[in-house]
Amino acid sequence: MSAAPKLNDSHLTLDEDISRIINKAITETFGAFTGIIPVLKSSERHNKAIEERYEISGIIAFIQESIEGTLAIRFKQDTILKLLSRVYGEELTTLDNKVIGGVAEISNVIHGIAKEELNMQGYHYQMCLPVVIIGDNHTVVSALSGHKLVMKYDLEGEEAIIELVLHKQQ
Amino acid sequence: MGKPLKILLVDDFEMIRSLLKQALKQLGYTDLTEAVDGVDAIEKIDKANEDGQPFDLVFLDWNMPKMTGIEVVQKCKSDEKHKSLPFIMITAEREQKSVVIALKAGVSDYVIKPFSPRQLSSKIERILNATSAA
Repeated sequence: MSAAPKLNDSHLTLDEDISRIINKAITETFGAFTGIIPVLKSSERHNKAIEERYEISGIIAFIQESIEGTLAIRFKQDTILKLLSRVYGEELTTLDNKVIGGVAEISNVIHGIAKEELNMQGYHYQMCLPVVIIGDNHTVVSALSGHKLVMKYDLEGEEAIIELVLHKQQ
Repeated sequence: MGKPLKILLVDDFEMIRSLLKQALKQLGYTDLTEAVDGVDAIEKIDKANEDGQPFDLVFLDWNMPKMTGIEVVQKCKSDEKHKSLPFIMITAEREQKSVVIALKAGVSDYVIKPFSPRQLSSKIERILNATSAA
């Protein structure tokens, strides 16, 4: 059952609550798709640029009456190839349509779980379908000004990174 | 198990079709056909019917290019030939209102991604029981 809207008394912030929701979404999604339970290595809030470069990212935009934001899940090429090889049951060697589709679907499921959790708590979020960016050593820069929540996960020796940016609309 | 079930798997993402195939094979279902979108699904449902070997069950995604899963269900339910064909919607959309929309369109059941073989098995059993009781 949905809780009462929280729009008037509080706004979603990069707090423990949102960390918990994202952690639940990541754990459930990777656990079901790859059989690996991700271990959260670090969770930091800051407004610094992300130094690390990645080869494939799934991006989800979301909006509420007073807040907009983006959630990015990012991988090195070797990492996503290893993870999705487990899912497909065959060795994947390039960032082809199978991999792009896999990252889109992983992002889509994470989005579905996070949206349900947020809306159960009274935040009435609308989330867009994910987009996938591929390219050597790319970074994702949000045009939104605001703090980032950066969560790094260990997946049996492989790393995935989550970047969440929230921006309060004027 | 009685007659082997002939199952159509419809999703534009190969990863989900692959996961469905792996899970259903684990459960002992091997007569599996894939469709890559809603239009392909309709063509395969029609063709199977014309060949006298209709599908017993369809798993299909909601959001797909060309034709959504809901549109596929509505089209089949309005066609006397396919009216009794059961559909299980597979989606990442978890909101109650989405479940209601799917059920109103004629979907027999609903599986939320990510799914497990056990969830698929219980949905199939439920549909088979409902079909045999009808």
